[in-house]
Amino acid sequence: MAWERRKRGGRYYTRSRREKGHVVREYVGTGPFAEIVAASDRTRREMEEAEREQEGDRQRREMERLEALAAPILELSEAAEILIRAHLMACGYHRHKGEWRRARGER
Amino acid sequence: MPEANAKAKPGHTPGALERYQLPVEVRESLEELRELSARAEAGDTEARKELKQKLRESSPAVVARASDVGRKAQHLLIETVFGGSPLTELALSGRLDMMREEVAGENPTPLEVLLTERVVACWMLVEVFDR
Repeated sequence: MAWERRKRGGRYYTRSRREKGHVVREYVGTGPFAEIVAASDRTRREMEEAEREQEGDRQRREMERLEALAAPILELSEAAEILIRAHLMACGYHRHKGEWRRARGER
Repeated sequence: MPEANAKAKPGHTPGALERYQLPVEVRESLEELRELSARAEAGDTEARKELKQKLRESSPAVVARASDVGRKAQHLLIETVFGGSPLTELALSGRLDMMREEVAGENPTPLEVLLTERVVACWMLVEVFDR
């Protein structure tokens, strides 16, 4: 959305939008009518921005809630991982290309 | 992880949150086991001997506490997500118990119990995230 200055000195309010990959400029008008349309467009943009911010906050809060729910289970998972690895190592296993194998002669 | 918990669960006191975390001594034991495993994996035979010794000393307690935290965490999940619907809570608890029996089999070792808790807890978490 922009005001264009004309050669004769007047201001013309225009809107731009994308249509089939091209930018199309729509000439709205001039004078008080254009001022009202411009103010209305500005308000709508501000409201959309505020909504996007609110949605972002809501998503952040939801993500924090899910992280908090997952935290103890991730802790349990990590503990199990460490213990399994420790037991396998202690029993003489070793990792070969990601696969656990028992070393020859180990018991 | 404690910070994440404390930040994301307003309304819960830190004391209540601790029920869902491993105690400090258990974390220290795990860290020790992790380091010894890494050294043993790198070929350090002394580390492997020490690892066996440490496992004998600390493994039962660590397994028990980790399993306990896992179970409590599952209850927290069920309460948080399905709270307000006692029937759903009961049904889900029953389903988790059945899953435990199925996964662990007969006479599971403590380590198998822990792994079962892990499987069940992760299944539950995926269910919650899918909702």
